[in-house]
Amino acid sequence: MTNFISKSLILASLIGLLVLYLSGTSEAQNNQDCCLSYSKVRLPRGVIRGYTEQLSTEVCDINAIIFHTKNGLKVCANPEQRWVKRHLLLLSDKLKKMSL
Amino acid sequence: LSNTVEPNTTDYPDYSYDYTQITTPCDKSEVRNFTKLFLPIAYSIICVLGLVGNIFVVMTFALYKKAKSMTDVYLFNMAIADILFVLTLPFWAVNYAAEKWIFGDFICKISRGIYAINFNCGMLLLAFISMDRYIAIVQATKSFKFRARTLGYSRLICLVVWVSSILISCSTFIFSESYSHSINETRQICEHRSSKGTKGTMLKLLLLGMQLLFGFFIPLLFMVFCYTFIVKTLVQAQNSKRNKAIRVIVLIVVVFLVCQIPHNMVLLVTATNIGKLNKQCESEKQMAFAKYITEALAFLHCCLNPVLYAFIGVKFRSYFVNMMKDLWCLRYKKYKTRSSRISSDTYHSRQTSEIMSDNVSSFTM
Repeated sequence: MTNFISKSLILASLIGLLVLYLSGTSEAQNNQDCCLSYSKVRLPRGVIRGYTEQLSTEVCDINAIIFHTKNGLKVCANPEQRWVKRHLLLLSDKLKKMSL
Repeated sequence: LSNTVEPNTTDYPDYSYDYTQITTPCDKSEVRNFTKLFLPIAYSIICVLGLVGNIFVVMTFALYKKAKSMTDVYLFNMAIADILFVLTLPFWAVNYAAEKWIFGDFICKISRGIYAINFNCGMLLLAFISMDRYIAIVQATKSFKFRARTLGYSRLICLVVWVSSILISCSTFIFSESYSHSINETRQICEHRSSKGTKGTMLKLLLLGMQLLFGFFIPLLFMVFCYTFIVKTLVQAQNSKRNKAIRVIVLIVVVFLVCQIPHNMVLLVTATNIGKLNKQCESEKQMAFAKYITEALAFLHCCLNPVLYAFIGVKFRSYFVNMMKDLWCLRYKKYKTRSSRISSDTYHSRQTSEIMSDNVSSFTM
């Protein structure tokens, strides 16, 4: 019986160790604004003032590019789409020229 | 001034965009208005209640009742874990009230680390307590000889629990950061963040799954298994205290379920939806409301632990009463009387030599 108890205690503490090593904080819901889906239409380049990046490695769930438009809107866009990539390139070019 | 959509776009002349087709980020200001008021109040109450109850438990163990049984060791450790846990809540109360994290990166990592470790640590100790009571009551005759040895084991288990708690804080430190959120860049938040190369969704899902498994399902499994057998044994036993003991066990399990099930159901639903595209903003907001309310309920559990596990026991209560009496005497008479303690020790000495009634007494009201 001692054997059984000590074995089960050792097993329990091993499980405990594993548990605590693996368990972390909850990455559940939050009260931050996030992009949940992407815009279906292409934004004209002229209306874009700038952009920020939403990363799935941070508080929000999906990767997205948030374009800030001249009338103050924030528009969620899919970073995988070609037009989005092209806009980003153009914006970074603009930034390069400004910093020169 | 509203006219800002400039028609001078030569690249895409016909893509003057349709407002109904663009997607803006899900606005959770409603949720923030709620958490700004509700969480600081809820966290303050939980913090005060949790501190008072658990500090009494720690003081009683430290000053009067030297931990004699395994359950005592677990209860002492659980009270310390609960105290550390509720001590992080003021930071979060301020965070939600100010709607931003003002304490910097280091406090962010520390408080998220302690918050996670102690919550899981407390859950694990609940499971160990149920297992210890199972060994004490169901295996009563067999375990009698090995009591002294198992006390050593419980210290070992607690040591393992704490050492691994420190180990885990390393990984929590890595994934917590104070940074500015992409939607509102002027505000710092203290949240999860992993390096860009990692698979964000997979990592979050893994962490959430682990929390569900070890913060809920494993303690639940332990408790259901152990307490079922304890109740079975008690029903068969001829013990005057058994009905009270059964009632206390049912109470412990019911409180656990009431506090933990709603929160873990929200986590479960969140886990199934994590990383999915095209979620509805309305349902996201409702889930966020549900999360904050059920989380507060789950946190309340650590204020109830001292009552459910320590103060409900006749012996513990008598030690506690003695401590309060002595503190009273110290204050008003400037000297310490030990007589009350001795008398109560004899009063509460075993009426029967039976080990079982001794073990059952930790349940009796």
